[in-house]
Amino acid sequence: MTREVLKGRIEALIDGRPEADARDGLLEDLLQLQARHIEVYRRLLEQGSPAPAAARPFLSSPALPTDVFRFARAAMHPSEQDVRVFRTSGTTAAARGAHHLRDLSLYDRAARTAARHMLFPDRESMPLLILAPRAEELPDSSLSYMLSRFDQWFGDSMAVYALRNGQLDGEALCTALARSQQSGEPLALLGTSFAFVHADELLAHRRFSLPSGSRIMQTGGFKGRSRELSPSQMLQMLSQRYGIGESFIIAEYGMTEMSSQLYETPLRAALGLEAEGPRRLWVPPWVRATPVDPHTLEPLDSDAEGILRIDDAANLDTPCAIQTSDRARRLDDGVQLLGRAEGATPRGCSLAIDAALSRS
Amino acid sequence: MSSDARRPQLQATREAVLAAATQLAACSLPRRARAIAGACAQLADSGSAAGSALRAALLQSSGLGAENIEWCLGSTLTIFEEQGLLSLAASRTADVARGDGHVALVLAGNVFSAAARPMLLALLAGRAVLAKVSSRDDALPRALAQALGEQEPAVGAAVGLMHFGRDDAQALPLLWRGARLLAVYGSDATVEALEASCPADLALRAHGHGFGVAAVGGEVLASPTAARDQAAALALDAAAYDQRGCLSPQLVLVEPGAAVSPERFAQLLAEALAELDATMPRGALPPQLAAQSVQFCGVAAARGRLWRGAGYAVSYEGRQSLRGSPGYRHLPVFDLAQPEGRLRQLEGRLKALASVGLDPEGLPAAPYHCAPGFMQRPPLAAPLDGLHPLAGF
Repeated sequence: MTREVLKGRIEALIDGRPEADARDGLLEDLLQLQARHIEVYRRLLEQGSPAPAAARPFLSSPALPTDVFRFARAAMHPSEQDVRVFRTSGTTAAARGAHHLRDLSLYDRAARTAARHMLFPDRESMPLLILAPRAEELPDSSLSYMLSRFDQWFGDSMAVYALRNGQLDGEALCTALARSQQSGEPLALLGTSFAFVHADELLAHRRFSLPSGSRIMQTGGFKGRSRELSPSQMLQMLSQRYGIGESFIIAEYGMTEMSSQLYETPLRAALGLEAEGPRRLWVPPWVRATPVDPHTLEPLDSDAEGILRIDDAANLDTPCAIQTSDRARRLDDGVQLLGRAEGATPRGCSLAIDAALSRS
Repeated sequence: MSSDARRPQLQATREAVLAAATQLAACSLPRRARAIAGACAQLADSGSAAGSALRAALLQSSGLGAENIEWCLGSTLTIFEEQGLLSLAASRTADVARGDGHVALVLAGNVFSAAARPMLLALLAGRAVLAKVSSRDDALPRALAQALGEQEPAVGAAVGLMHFGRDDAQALPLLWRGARLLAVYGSDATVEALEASCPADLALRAHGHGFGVAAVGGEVLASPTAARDQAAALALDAAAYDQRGCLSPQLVLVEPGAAVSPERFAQLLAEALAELDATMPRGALPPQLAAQSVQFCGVAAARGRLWRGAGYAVSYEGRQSLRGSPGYRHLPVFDLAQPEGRLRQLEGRLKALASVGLDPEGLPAAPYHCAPGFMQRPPLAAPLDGLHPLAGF
């Protein structure tokens, strides 16, 4: 099976074409190709999975732990073929995970299809207010890249960026919000969780009542960059601040190491496009999201808490099977995130050595 | 119990301990040393009622296996013998029993025996002790206070244990008001929070995050037997307390070029940990640590060699960039051929260095330097934070 043939099959799956393969078979073929061509993945297979092999045939191939992306190149192609490198956030290059992309077309196709389905299913385009850096400012941020593409695909005018050089631009933020409120034209606010917290602090007593159809997509953790809010506090804060119903506020789950994104379900349900159900992450048809037992890496059938394994078919040139440390459980037809497994007790000693080794 | 409901109890503990401080000061140094040694001997004896009860409590609270608890108790309590205590006191007469004030302690719960040294040495110095104990594990401080009281009532009465949340700003002054020293064991965040809130004129000794490193020179790798002995010693250093302490080795550096290569040494280390897994099994791995174990092993497999068993993992990562361990008996091994300055980066937070067959000049400096096998059993006089053990008391 060649790369090009696989790429065509993945495209068909993302597009939902009738001739598309079943996801699991496609992932198996992709894993076999990657086992031959991704050095670190091949080494992982040679030395055995980080836990005893899973009994389920479709999960028999181990997933590459996310930390590997911090310490080694994980790609089928050589570095000279990279067209873009996305990096995880961090303070030093050595400590940051990297996703080396040879081709952005599958990334774009997956991002556009998922966002169209979950974030903009009812509108061809709308004004965007972005609380994240521009892609030119932060070229190695996958989020900034994705949002710049959203501007092209879903924005009906030039998106307003309210974050510049790490600083919130209060004037741009208020102007865009006030314009939407006055014109009655719905607005989509897209940004990081900590930027929304900073905006909340900056706006102080100002409240907005954005037009019906406005929506918010927030993503990522707080990373020590702002005060931390629980998911329910975040929802309440955003709803009260911008006058948007909670069903129109959805979280996005994405990782630098992935090419696809998972979105929460309430917006589609509120639009009558899906049945009502608990707030959960929708898993695109080309992605497998499996909570697994952290001790055995066996998939968990019930709604038991595990750590999330992601198999993302849109990762054609980089490992498609990724083992995260994110705690998750199954919920209806999706998954619910429960936070990150940081350690049972504060592992101060390992924090200390990480800090010492990352000094430049 | 709510914070407000606890207040009268905390106040009563404080008043009782401060009242007992006078009797403690009147109790001679030899009597104090005898009481401390006697209490430790009692608890070290697994056949005594107190020793048995302590082991049962630690099995519930510490997360360690029974054999590990036994090793840790033995290696901790036996250093507090009478003559050694008197010698230590004699070596630092300038600070002992002069000036006023009790010693306030904030204790952590990651290594249960860490409470022994500050509590007992403060008492040796004639200082009453008020200690905020870990909500997770207060078994040893409780047992020590009880045993001290049985040995010498004046010494036992001068110890008060307090239970309250780390954010309970109203309770903290009950701990430290009038103290001559506040010694804090815990995370950097805990230390920083207490530094910010305690009175400016209160002496504070912070014991924040830190780690240990082991280095093995080619000199001892000439024969497989010698290498195996060193590997066994280092395996014990990692297995003790399930590698959760600040003295635990977080990584091992091995000099290349000898008959036993660094990679082979890593394998010997794994074999030694496998043996310890049978005789001193690891405690249950919490789910969050299991997730970290997956990450550790994945990186090891991807960039080096990995040896793994039910209760341990060892990697060999050659000259790759150094990294630490999640604890719980995960040890990365690297070539001791790192770029200049790389090892120096470890200084500052490095609390223990075990080395053998190497010139210490070329190694990062650490307050506690020992041979492999002794990282988790420092002698009584060891300057664990670069200070005399009685400094400030």
